[in-house]
Amino acid sequence: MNQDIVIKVDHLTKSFSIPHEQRNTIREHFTSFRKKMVFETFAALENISFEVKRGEFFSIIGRNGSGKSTLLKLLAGIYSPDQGSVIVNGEISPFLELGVGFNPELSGKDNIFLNGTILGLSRFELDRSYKKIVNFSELNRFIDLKVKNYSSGMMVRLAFSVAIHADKEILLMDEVLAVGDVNFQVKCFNVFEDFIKEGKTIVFVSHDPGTVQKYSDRVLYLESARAAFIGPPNEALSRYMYTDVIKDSEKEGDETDKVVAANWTDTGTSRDSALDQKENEAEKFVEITNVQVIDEQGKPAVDIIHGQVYNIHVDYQLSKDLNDLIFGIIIYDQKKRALFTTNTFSEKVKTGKIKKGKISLNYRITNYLSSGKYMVSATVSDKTQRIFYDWKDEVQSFRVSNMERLGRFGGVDLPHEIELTKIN
Amino acid sequence: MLAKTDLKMRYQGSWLGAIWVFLKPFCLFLVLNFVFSNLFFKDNPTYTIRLLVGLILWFFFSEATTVGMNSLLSKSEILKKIFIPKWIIIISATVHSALAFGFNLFILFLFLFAYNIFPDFIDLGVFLIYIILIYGISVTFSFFAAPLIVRFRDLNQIWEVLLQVLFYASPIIYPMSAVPPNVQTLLYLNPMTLLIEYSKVALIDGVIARFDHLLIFIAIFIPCFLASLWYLKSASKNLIENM
Repeated sequence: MNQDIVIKVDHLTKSFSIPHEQRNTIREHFTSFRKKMVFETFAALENISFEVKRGEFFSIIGRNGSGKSTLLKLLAGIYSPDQGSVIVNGEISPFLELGVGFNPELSGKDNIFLNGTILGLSRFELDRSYKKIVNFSELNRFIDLKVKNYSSGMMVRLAFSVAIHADKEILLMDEVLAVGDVNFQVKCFNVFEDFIKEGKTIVFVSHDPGTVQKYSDRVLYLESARAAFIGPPNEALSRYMYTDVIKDSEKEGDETDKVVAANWTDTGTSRDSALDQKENEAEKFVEITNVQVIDEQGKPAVDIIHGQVYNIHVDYQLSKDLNDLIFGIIIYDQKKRALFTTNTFSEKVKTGKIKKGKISLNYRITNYLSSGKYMVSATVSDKTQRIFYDWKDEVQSFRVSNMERLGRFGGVDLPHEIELTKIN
Repeated sequence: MLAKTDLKMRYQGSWLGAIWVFLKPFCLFLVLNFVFSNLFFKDNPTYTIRLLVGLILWFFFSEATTVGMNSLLSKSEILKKIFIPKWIIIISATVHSALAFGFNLFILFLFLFAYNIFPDFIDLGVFLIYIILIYGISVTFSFFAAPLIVRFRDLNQIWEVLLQVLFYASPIIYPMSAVPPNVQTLLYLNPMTLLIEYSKVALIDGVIARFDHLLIFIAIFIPCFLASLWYLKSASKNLIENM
């Protein structure tokens, strides 16, 4: 094998059989031996092939259950492949998680030795690097304390310190940095960078697009047991996030009528006060009858793109003549954050006296949101904004898909230009 | 290292600490000695010391097999996260029993000297071979049982009952001479019978019993051990997935 390739995975397939009925004891086998065992086969990985080169920071992303952890366990040799092969050329760190085998009843010092031994360090190596491990973890004062009295941050620091001193050529890391504060995470990544410089290889599994984009050389994107993409981080992440959005909207589909409790805390308005206001709607003189998201041709807008103009069209039915009403809309993202609000009062649209009957409002908006799914709420209140005649939460949804503007992960995609000036 | 932690953990928090290692077999020893030396074997002056030899060897065997059998399952959390050869886990668990046995052996020799019994080097050498064989049997058993218990979780209960049976089928609380000859042959099917009986003979009577038996024993043991190694290797392949 080429010396530069440290991990070679070739047409790897792994499946698990899930018995419909657990039989874990001889008694169970004995009492039901005439019944046939029914199995369901679940493919965790299907026909995966890739190579990792020496000195590469290789990340694996994918949704929950897409097979990331199974793949890592196969790399570590914990599982054995059903078909295909995993060839590892070089010493591999055999662990996936930090602090494996930590014993809460023992002191930090004892755990360094215990954990170190499990990671394959010899007694001599441990004696030699003990001081370094303690210093890196910044736990000098607490090293004789029992680990059960450690905070979770201290535990991670200790575990990580031992792990990086295991000094293997290939490191496997499974969501290791989920805990630990920002400072320590930065410290960890500095260590990773040093490792890469030393020619070590890192295989990293994460949900966090930020870290993956920042540090990876190449990314493997797993989608339901298959390798959907292998290549540069930006493209892999865009695909990952884009499919995420599509999947979510397919799943929810027609459920948009469902009123989901909006979380207002992000915007500073408390949800409770909004509810109080809603309760003020003594009589429903005005009713929101229809909310639509349509494109310039008047057709329902699907997959709005960057810079496209679209309309949010709201119909109202008044059962009485009313003065100085205020009409408004709110656009939420999927995390229920209000991204955008507008109303006739703030935009200084004079509503004046409106007679009993139907009226409609049209909000013409240029799209600067990034890819994702968004929800619209519509409101109508009196001029004090205290009495809400009607308030329909998340009555309509629309989707933005900027396939040609991949690699932008912010919530909004503002119109902008970049000017580069080189001053010598 | 794993064995050391096991030892540390096992008796942590109990105020008698490591003393438990001796106390467990010796409590039983005191009770059995009181009952049997007074009731049944009054005229046998060496009954007490023979009982002690038998009990200590038996405890070694029963501890090592039980711990060895459960070793993989009890370490499943670690095994799911990290690749460690399975045999290391099993051996480290049984080494712990061997250490406890070492302590007990020390006590045993104090008793022997108190009884004015000083075995010579050849007797000790033979005794050592028996000890190694007991350890070997325990490891062989564990290599088979540790992967099996992952699939059959009630194996430990079954083994507990079997251990009780084997305990009474070994010449521990009674001398071999108290058993009718045809039953004796039956008892020799229990591998522990031969090892315990011959250990007693070597240590206390200073006689090396039937070297040919020992050779036959070893001749049977070695293929069994190799088979267990092979079994462990093939069973390890899809073991973790079932944990």
